[in-house]
Order: sequence, then C-alpha cells, then structure tokens
Amino acid sequence: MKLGKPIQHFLLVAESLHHANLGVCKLLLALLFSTQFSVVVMRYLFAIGFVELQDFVLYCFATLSILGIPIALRLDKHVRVDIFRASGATASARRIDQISYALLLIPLAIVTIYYAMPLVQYSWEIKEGARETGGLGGYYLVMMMLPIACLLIIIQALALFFDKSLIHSEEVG
Amino acid sequence: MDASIIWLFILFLCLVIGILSGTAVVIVLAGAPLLVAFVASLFGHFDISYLAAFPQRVYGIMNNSLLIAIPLFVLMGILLEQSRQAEKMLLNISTLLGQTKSTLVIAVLFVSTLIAASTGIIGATIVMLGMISLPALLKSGVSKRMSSGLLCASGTLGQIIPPSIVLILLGDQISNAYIEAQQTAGNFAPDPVSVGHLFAGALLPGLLLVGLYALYTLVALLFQKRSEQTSVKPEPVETLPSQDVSIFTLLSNILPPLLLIIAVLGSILFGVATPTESAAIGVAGTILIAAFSLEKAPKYLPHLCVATVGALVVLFAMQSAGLTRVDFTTGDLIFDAGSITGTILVGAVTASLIYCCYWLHRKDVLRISLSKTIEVTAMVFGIIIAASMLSLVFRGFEGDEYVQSFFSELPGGAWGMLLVTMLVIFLLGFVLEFVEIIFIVIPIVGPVILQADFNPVWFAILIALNIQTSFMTPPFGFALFYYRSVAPAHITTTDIYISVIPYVALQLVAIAIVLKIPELATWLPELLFN
Repeated sequence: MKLGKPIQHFLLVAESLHHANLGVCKLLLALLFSTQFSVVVMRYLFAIGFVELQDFVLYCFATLSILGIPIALRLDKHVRVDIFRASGATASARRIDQISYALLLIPLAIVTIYYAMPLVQYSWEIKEGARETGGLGGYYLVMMMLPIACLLIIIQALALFFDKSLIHSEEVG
Repeated sequence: MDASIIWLFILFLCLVIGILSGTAVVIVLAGAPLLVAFVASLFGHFDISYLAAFPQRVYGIMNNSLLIAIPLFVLMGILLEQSRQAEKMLLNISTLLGQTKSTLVIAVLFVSTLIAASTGIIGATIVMLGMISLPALLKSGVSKRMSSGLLCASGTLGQIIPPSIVLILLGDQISNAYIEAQQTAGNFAPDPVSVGHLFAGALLPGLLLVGLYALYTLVALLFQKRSEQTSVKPEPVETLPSQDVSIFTLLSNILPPLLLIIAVLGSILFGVATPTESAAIGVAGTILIAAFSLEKAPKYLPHLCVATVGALVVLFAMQSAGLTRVDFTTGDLIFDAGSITGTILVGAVTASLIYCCYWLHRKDVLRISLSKTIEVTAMVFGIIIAASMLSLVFRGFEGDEYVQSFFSELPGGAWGMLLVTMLVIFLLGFVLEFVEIIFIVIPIVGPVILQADFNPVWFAILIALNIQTSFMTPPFGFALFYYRSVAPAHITTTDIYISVIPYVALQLVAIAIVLKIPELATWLPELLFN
C-alpha cells in the first residue's frame, strides 16, 4: 500500500512526538528518583520536610504513569496473549490490531477526553493546587496530562494503523 | 433476572474473544466494556453517564502515592540487571560450590532468592538463569525437564519474596477492600493494612517455598540417580570458568546486594521508612553497585563507591547519635560541628552519586535502564487504568450485586467463598496476568469476603501465592515465555510445560500449608507492627 503525502507527514509528526514524549518521561523518572531521594535524606538525617517536594514527586509520578502509555503502545510493549497469534506481524494479526485501534482504543481515548475536559477546565479556572495545605500549586497542569496522553494515544494508534513497518520493528535504544 | 446479566455475559464473551485474538490486553480490557456499555445504552439498558466517573478514577490512580514505589523498584531491578551484578553472583557461587548436581541446584535457589529479595523483575531473572545455569545443570546430568522446572519456578520467587510489585498492588487493593468490608460489617475503625504488613507477611511463606523447591528437587535428584545408576556416568565438563574464586571476589560480589537488601527490606519491615522511601534508597544503592562493577570505567570508580557507602554509614551513625538535626522548631539554625559535617558529607554523597550516574550514562547503562523502566511502568499502569474501566462498567451492570448474591448462596459460608475465590484466581492465572487479576478480582470479591473474620494479611498472602503460580501455569505463564526465549531448541515447549507441573503442585502445597497455619503469614507482621 502506497501512502499519500499527508499521511507520510503525519507519520513523521507522530514519530517526533513519540521521541519528545520519551525524553520527557525519562526526565520525569530521573526527577522522581532524585527528588524522592533528597526528601528521604533530608527527613532522616536533618529532620526537615517540605510538603512541596513530596507533592512534586507525586506530580512527576502522576505525569509519568499516564504519559508512558502511548510510548508502550508505539513500542508494542503492552502485554499480549499470543496463543493464536503467529509470532511476528502477519497480515491477519495486523488486521486484528487495526480493528482494535479503530473500534476500541480510539473511541476509548475520545470518551476519556470528552469526560475529562470539564474536570480539567474547572481545575484550570480555580487554579487548583495540591490536596494538602501548604502544598505545591499547579495541580491543574497535572490534570491536563490525561487529555494530552489520550491525544497522544490517538495519534500513535493512527500511526500504527497506517504504517505497518512500525510493528515489531523498533527496538529500544 | 433482568437484561444486565445478559449484557454481563456478552461482556465476558467479548473479553475472552478479544484477549485470545492476540491484540494488546489493555486495549481489550478497557475498550470491550466501553463498546458493550455503548451498545447496551442504545437498548436503554445502561446509563452511559455512568462513564463520566472514569476520568476521576484515572486521576485517583495517578495520585495514589502508594504506587510511586513501583517505578522506583522497577528501576532498581533493571539497573541491577543492566549492571550484570546478579550474573557475577551466580557465576561465583556456582564455581565456589562446585559443579555437582545438588550444589548447582542449591546455588540456583540461593541466588534466585537473593535476586528475588532485591528486585521483582521476573524476565531478567529467568533469562539470566537460563543463560548461565541451564548449561551447567544439563552438563552435570540434571535432566532437561527438571532443570527447566527448577529455573522457571525459581524465577517467579521475586513475585512473592518482598519487596515485590505484586505485594504493593495487592496492598493497595486489599486495604481498600478491607476498609469497605469492615464498614459494611459495622466496624468503623478497622486496623489499617499497609504494604509493610504484606511485605512482613510474605517473608516466611516465601522462604517456605524456597525450602519446598529445594527439598523436592534434591529428593527428585536422588531418585533420578538411583534409576540411572546403570547408565553412563555424565562426563565432567567445564562450563563455568573454573578458576579459583578468591573469597574477596566472592564477598565483593555478594555483599553489596546483600547489604542493600537488608537496608531496603529492613527499613520497611521495621517501619522506619515507607516503601517509596526505601525504594529511593534502593535505587541510590543500586546506582553505587552498578558503578562499582562497571566495566571499562576509571579504576578509582569502585573506590569512590566504597567511600560513598562509608560516608552514608557515618551519616546514619551521626543521625542515630542525634548530631545532624537542624532544629527548625526553635526558629534558629544551629550550625555546630555535627550539622556542618553532616551537610558536607551529604554534599559529598550527592556529588559522588551524580558522578556515578555520569559514568553509567557514558556506558549507556542509564539510558537503557530509564527507557525500560518507563516501558514496564507503562505496561503496569495501562492495565490498572484499563481494569478500572472494566470494573466501572461491571458495577454499572450491577455485576457486584450478582457476585454478592452468588457468594451468599455458596455452601460453607466464608470458607466456601475463600475457596471459590482461590479457585477462580488459579484458573484466571492460566490466561491473565497478575495486575489484571489483582485489579479485577479484588475489588469485586474483597469487600464481600473480608466482611468475614479473616485476617486481611493472611488473605492477601494466599492470593499472592496463588498469583505467583499464574506465572508458571501453561500456556500463558510469563516465566515460561521468558524461559522459552533462552532455552535451546532441543528443549521443546512441551518439555517446559511438563517440567513446571511438579512446581505448580508445590505452590498448591504451600498455599495449603498457609491456609492451615495462618501464623506463617500473620506472626511477623503482628510482631513488627503491634
């Protein structure tokens, strides 16, 4: 199947979004560890604690846990039950994947965005902060991550839908 | 009987077909309920606005501070794998103990237990055991089926021996279910159940399993020997580098992970630190261990790592002596000799950690570890989120009420419920993965079953043992997949499936023992936390 120009452009965009997202997640993971480690050191050695830092760890974690999903989707790292599926990307296995993206995954992402947006909007309007008093502000940015992740899931699902070279071809690196 | 039971049946059917179709399980777990709910709403049998609660549930998962420990423990395990520390341990211990059948078996179990206590990464453990121990076991004359079974089973120990991801996820779900159940039963102040309780509770049953594996394998070897006495003696072949392992090399390979395990597990079990905090310490320690054994790094790097550990020990000694405290409550900062030394040492430790990370980055260990951690974490969280969609739709069809009435009609009361739950989890283990089982089954049956007078820790450990079994039940046991990927072609898939049967039986024996003697799971948590 020859792909049209707009689709090829789209695939390039999807790829660069994937790499950007992966970079963000790596950074978040590094920040998550180093902040949590500093919290531990400060608490146990100097008996100092900052609610803000603990909140920052939680923000990093929350963002990481949701943004990682489109990455795993693109790299085909989500668990599969391979009993009837031949190893490698056969045509029928690819067809099944395409159906699952179109019928299940993309609608799911759209429904989630649809129901999440009012929450995000409200949170954005009141400039929602962390749960605890004295905590870090800017929680509405974390709320934003759910619709963003869903958008990325839609983009990557479409990319996988169109580009068969993506499946089982990319290794981590 | 109304329409919703039919829709639940259709949902179940869609899930089975979807999962068996080979597409990603997460997509099916979340997408199929959505599709069924949508179609049912067209018939007026489902209130679609019920789904508006889904994003709130996702935010609940994202903000669950208990789960922060998961990416950290995963990172710890992957760093340890990438640094090849575990491989060195296995090689050295095997060489030291010699190459007879029984000593090799003991070496495999010993190293597996150590790795299990430091990480829960099942794939890495099995691949390593398959690459290093399998050739040695085969050449020493252990049959291919017995070696395969032993290696697959040993690889799953990480799921039950704390700290394990299974236990963290179970802790989260069990404590919710327990509080809900006790409140329904009229107890409005139930004792909390923490991940720490489960870690403490799983320790003895985990060691019991190791003991059972060892006992069975050694006895089976004896019988094998007796029946083979007439056959040709296997020639002694040197597979492992058999140069003398000095006691120093051995200690320098075993001691660092051992100390790290004691520090991480000890701090959780004695209630000094939360699992998340201990996991952060664990990652820091693993960075030092990885840098210590990094190949082609500057010669002073190992010395730096040792010095850093020394500085940490001094710091903790000073802290216990009360020398490092900066007193904010009185409003003034007292900078005496103690706090200044403390600050300088902390600065030095931090600098050294950053320098170690720099070298790990240069040798490409860090980048790969971070990527892999993100993938594993995403895999786990994808399923947690998908399962929350499934349970939402399940409740929307009033499935929880059907489960409740099904349970109340069971003969045998609470014990009947427990046995049915265990059977269902065991059967689900043949097709589903641990995260799916925990997040689908516990929210449904937990609030019902825990209304009975069961100890929640004991209940959780039984489930953990059961779930660990699912890793080695054919055809979808993850241990078997990983083992297949490293086993040579002359070991057929059928061989592997048959090889694990005795070990699955041993799991059932262990479950029966813990069922009969609940103290195995409850004694240590009560001792430590009360």
